[in-house]
Amino acid sequence: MDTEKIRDLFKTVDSSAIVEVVAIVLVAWLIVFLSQRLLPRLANLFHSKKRLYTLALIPLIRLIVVVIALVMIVPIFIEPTLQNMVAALGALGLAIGFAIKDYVSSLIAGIVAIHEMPYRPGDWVTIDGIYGEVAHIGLRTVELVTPDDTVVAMPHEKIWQNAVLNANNGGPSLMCVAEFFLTPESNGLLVKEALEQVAFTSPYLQIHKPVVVTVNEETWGTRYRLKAYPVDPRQQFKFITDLSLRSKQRLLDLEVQFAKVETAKSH
Amino acid sequence: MGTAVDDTLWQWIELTDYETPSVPTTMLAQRWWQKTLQTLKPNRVDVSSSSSTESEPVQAEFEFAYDPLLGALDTLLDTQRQNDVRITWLVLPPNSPAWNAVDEWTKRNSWQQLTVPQRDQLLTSQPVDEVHLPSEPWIMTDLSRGFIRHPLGMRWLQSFLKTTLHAADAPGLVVCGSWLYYYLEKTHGGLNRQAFTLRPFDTDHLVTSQLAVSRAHAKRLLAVSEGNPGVAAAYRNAFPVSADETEIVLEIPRVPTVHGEISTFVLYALLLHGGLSTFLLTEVLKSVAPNLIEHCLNLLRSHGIVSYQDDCWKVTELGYPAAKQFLAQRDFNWTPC
Repeated sequence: MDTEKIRDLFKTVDSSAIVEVVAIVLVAWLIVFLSQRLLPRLANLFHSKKRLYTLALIPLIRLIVVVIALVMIVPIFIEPTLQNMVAALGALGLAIGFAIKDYVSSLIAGIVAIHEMPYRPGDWVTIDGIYGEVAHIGLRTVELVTPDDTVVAMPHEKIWQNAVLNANNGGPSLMCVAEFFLTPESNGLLVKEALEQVAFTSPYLQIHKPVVVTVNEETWGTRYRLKAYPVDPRQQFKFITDLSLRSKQRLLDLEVQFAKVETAKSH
Repeated sequence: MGTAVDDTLWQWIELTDYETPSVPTTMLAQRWWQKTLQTLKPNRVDVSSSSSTESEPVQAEFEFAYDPLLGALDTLLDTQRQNDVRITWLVLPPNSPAWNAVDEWTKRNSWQQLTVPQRDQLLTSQPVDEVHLPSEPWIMTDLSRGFIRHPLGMRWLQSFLKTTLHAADAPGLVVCGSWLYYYLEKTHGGLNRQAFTLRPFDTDHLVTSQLAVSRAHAKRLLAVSEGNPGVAAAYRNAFPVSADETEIVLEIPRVPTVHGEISTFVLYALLLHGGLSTFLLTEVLKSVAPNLIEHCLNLLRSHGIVSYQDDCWKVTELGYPAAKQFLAQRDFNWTPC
């Protein structure tokens, strides 16, 4: 009886229907494939906001294409009545519940990620303790490229339970911090001014954004944090290196004493 | 040949009122298309070709007549005096004819020129002398001469900014490059100075001043110069056209993208300082290898973007629009003025 009901859900599929489905899948695959190949290349010709917006189009285009393809394919196999759809979805839910729960969880999280945008291609994020640039948002995983050029495939389902720390949140502004540990006797105002001068004279500096020096007294000495923004988020490591090296040189010129710290944890 | 005839052409306006003149849509579309071609084919050497460049020059070199501009400057300073404003700031874009006009004005007037330490001296750890404003009228002809974008190179400028913040005894005139002014405004929490700049030339001004030989020519000059008469004059002289010519193509040099990041740093540094020596450029760009800077400079020179003379690298008049566009595309701290 149940078998008969399930059989009744489906239309009789002839060869022309199969050709139609294959054609839809091929066209959809081609559009997705081309968008994934061409848009990153195009994006890399741009800079700043234009680059990020172009990259953000890739998962959006794929989602739209997949939805359209499904809308076109399903009626070829199933008579789209309410009764049939409820029955088909019920059967699908059962299969998902037992067999491919995790996979579908990641797929759904992928759709949620496209809608809520906790990360977009070009963003610098920390997920599950891993920091990197979002290189690609796939159906099931998001690919991060770490500063050491390692590609990490992270299932989208991580967003259900893990915090996603997004450093630039779809824009070109990404704060960089260079830390300095000095003895408590150092002249704080002089150090602050010197660090600001170093940031103002860095070629990587985005001058539209503020330069801030924060100071914290610790048991071992004084912690100085120089905070500034680079023009392009991809320059962050070069920027921090430039700030660190030139600040250190300047502080040595000013005969400022560096503190000896065993371990330092930023906050 | 002095050709500027209309006294009202030259007007000093407040910097806050400055607006880049609107470029005709067709010109914008043309420029966008050229930019797209450059982006998609970064290795292209020729952006466009011009038949007019190969033809015989049909007009004499254009030179500005500075008297009306000097008159406008005198009027501005009189107004400032009446309003009891002691220090007047002039913000000038690179290649503006106002730079030469200010030099001429300084020769004709007996205002004392402020002495600025040599740029090389600014980089030594020796203390920099405090700035003292004279009790008689004074002029600072180019503020960038007292500045190097280096932790040690900003001390004199900071002293100058601090001193001029307070009321001066005598009238003073400070001339500052637009790139430096914009940089200082952003990095020093707003300069809060009432600054003036030259009103940009629109199509009508280009025709009236005889910089353009026709309205079609004026539209094209406006598209490349964005209202900077100095740049417009450079393009007029480089690509002479006759009044009846309809096919006018102005070839803009292209910034090579080979050293994208370094080119950005180099061009910005040159515009900010109004030109730099090779040594100072390597000091300003400490994080870039000197041989890469030199290679980049030579590449930019081969494309006509920068020139080298008397141990000073500068962005050329013809290369300025391309350099500005290159920096704007990268959101790189550019200034509209």
